[in-house]
Amino acid sequence: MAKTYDYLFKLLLIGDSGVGKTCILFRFSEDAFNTTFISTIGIDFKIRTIELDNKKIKLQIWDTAGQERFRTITTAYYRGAMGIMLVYDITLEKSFENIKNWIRNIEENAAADVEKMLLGNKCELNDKRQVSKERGEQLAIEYGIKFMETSAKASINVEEAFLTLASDIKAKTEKRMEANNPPKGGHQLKLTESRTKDSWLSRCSLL
Amino acid sequence: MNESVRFERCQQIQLGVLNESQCQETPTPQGTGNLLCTHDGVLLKKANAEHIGELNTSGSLSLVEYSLPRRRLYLEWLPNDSIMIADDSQDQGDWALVDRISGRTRTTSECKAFNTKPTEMGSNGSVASTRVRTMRVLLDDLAVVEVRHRGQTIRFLRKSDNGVHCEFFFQHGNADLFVRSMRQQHIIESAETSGGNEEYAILTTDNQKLKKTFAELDIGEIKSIQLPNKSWLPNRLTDFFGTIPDYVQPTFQRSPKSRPASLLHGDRPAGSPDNEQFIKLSGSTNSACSSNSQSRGDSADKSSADSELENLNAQDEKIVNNLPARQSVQRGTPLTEAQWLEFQTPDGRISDSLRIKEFIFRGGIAPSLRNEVWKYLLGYYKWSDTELERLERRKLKSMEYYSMKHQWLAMTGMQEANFSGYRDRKCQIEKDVKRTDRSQEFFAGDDNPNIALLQDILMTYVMYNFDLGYVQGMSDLLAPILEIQINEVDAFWCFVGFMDMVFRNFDMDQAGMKKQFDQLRRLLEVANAPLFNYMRSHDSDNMYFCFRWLIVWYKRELENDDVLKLWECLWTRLPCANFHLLVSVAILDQETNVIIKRGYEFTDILKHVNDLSGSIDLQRTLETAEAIYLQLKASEALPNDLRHIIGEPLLPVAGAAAADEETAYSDDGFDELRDLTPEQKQRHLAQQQEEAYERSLLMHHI
Repeated sequence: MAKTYDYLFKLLLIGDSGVGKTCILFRFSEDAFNTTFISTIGIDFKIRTIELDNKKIKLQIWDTAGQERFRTITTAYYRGAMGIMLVYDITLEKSFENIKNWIRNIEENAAADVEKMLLGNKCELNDKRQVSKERGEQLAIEYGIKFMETSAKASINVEEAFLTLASDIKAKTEKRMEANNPPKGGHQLKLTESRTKDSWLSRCSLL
Repeated sequence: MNESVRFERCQQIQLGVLNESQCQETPTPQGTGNLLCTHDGVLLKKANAEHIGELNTSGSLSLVEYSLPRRRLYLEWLPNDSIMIADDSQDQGDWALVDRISGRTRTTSECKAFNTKPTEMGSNGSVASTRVRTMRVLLDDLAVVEVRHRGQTIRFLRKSDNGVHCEFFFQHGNADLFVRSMRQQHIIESAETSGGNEEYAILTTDNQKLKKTFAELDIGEIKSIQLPNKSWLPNRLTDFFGTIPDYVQPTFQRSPKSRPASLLHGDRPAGSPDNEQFIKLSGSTNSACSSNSQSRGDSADKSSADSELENLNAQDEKIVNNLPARQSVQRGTPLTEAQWLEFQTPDGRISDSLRIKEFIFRGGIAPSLRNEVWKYLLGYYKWSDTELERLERRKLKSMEYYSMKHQWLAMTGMQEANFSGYRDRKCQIEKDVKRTDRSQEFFAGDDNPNIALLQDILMTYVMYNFDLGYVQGMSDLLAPILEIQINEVDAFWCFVGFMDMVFRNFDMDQAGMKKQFDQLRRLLEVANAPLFNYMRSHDSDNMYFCFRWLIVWYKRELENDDVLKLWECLWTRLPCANFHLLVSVAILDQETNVIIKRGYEFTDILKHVNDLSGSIDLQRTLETAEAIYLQLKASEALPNDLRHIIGEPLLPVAGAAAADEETAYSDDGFDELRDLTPEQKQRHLAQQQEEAYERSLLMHHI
């Protein structure tokens, strides 16, 4: 059976309970917003295939329960993740403070080179804001990751956030693939670049 | 005196199972027999009650041909010497008698009650006792030979009901030669291999002759002769031979149809209220069973997935017991107001709570009665209380509730600010009540006062049990209760009763959930080996995908009305406290085909399981779950860890027999009991047996 995609990326949404992880996922996968909220129990995932630079990328996005109690179960899913969305609620200071705990959790359980991104959700509720955009940006800089404020309800930046994370993973993946397996002729400039990076020995051993 | 009367009854029970031809047949052959094959150093492990004294005795197992009055083959086992084993500990070894009326394995104490060995032996002369000590059975009355425990154990199943007639343990070497010899003489033929066990069909006398004639042409026979023990061969070889089609041999299957209908209602005590219904049921057993086998994957069309399974089974070192056929079970009707009134004494006590629970387990409760009956099921009301006592109790409980509620209502802003444990719990409750059952009319709409009620009850529960506090999922458990009780105090105490049953689901370290995954895994391993093996080979046997099912008792999987039906059924704790796990096994059982045929991996299984939400047929699921329960219960070889899970009395494990068992069931996951001191163990066993006995009594009445 022919594959209907070029890459499969496994992504993970984490953050405190009630910050809107499920709503963000629902917005991205179904482009909809459900006003009858329901808390997530256990773990689930949704699939959406996107296209970047003529490559079909299947995103498998995992949604987890936020309460600390369930971390022993949910961390089991961190390992295979290639990208993680850290979500907080801009109207809830505590959820922002907890981001550092979530980061620690990732460091302990996920692959070291996993792509991360920080999202401040519910940005449509500006009058209830407790966390300024600057603080979000500052924290992201601290961790060396990208940041966006989103609104699942008003459909702000959700699409952009996932496309950004996916394209960063794609770039990283392709870079690694080129390093491990340099393309053989017929290609463009990139080739020479990657060739120069290859050691003479490693290419030799391929022959 | 009493004992001998009981013994006679036991004999009658056994006679009752024999079919007519067996009864007409004189069991004692005449003349000298011709020894076809024999093996020494064979321990008798399981047999009819009359051979109790010989269990665990070493002897020789033989196949003997007698020509008078006409040619008949007998399986015989003779003890090596005439030393009687009177030691009690030996008697309590690895053995069990099967009561074929209830299909239940007898407990040690019951066996003792039936054990009339001293009087029986004493009253007969030595010749008579030797005859009794020889175990002899007409081969035509047996249907199947099973080779288990890597060839160490061999057991023979009756033709009449596929129950175990006798079991032997080969002390030296294994059953290989004995089995090969029987096969070469065309007495048995290879049938199937599963879970490392071998199964052979015993050919009827006529078939034996036929087989001999066709022996040279019979590919199946060549296969089986060259492969004395498929499961012990390298996998690749097994695979190769496994692909030779069984053209000549029809695939042997233990058909549930071979069960006589009388056995089915024999399982029920006469005069039970729905006996009629059950008899009617037994008529439809065949169709039920056939649909069952369909859902379990067609054995006729062997896909690649199936052959993969066979390979797995060959590798499988664990002992997956061959279970008796799954019977169909039918649900009843809900408990009605008229029935409920019948159980009330003039002073307002409920006279027979066990019967009521049976009714509820069978068919649920009429909606108008739920408000009242749930209070009993959830331990808020006591069955034995009079109406006056109940009023008093309700008053006290109401005061208790409001004093706890007052505690958190009186919390000042500063106190709260300085009390993070409380704040976190409160914050989580606030988040969750806003998103609990909002699509239900009872909780729908903005500023619905019932949401505030939900919050108040959960907050009061935090004060009632601060350590547990509030964990996501608990609001899901409370909402249907509040919807039925409406009254805040009643709902709180009913919720407390429910939480008492499931609080381990919310352990900080999730130990309670992990334990249930392990138990579920074991149940599936035995109840549905093909699916289990498939899952194991696809790294999916951690059962994580059942997390949501178990933590909130299927609340997210069913429509609200079905949630109420399921919960009241589970609250009866019948037929065993872990019935909710059997519900999982039953749902997975219905999805076996989809999961295996579509080649699902872990993520696909998780997705599939999550997406089942809203499409689960509760009625069918409960019927399947009970059928699986009865199937496990009826399996006399069920390992103790599984008995523990389904609340059945444990098989006694003692001395040498224990060591033997240990190796046979090396990974039974039964650590819990092993860690106990002998006294604790004894107490635990006694308690288990008592509970199980009570439950089995109950189940008889249903």
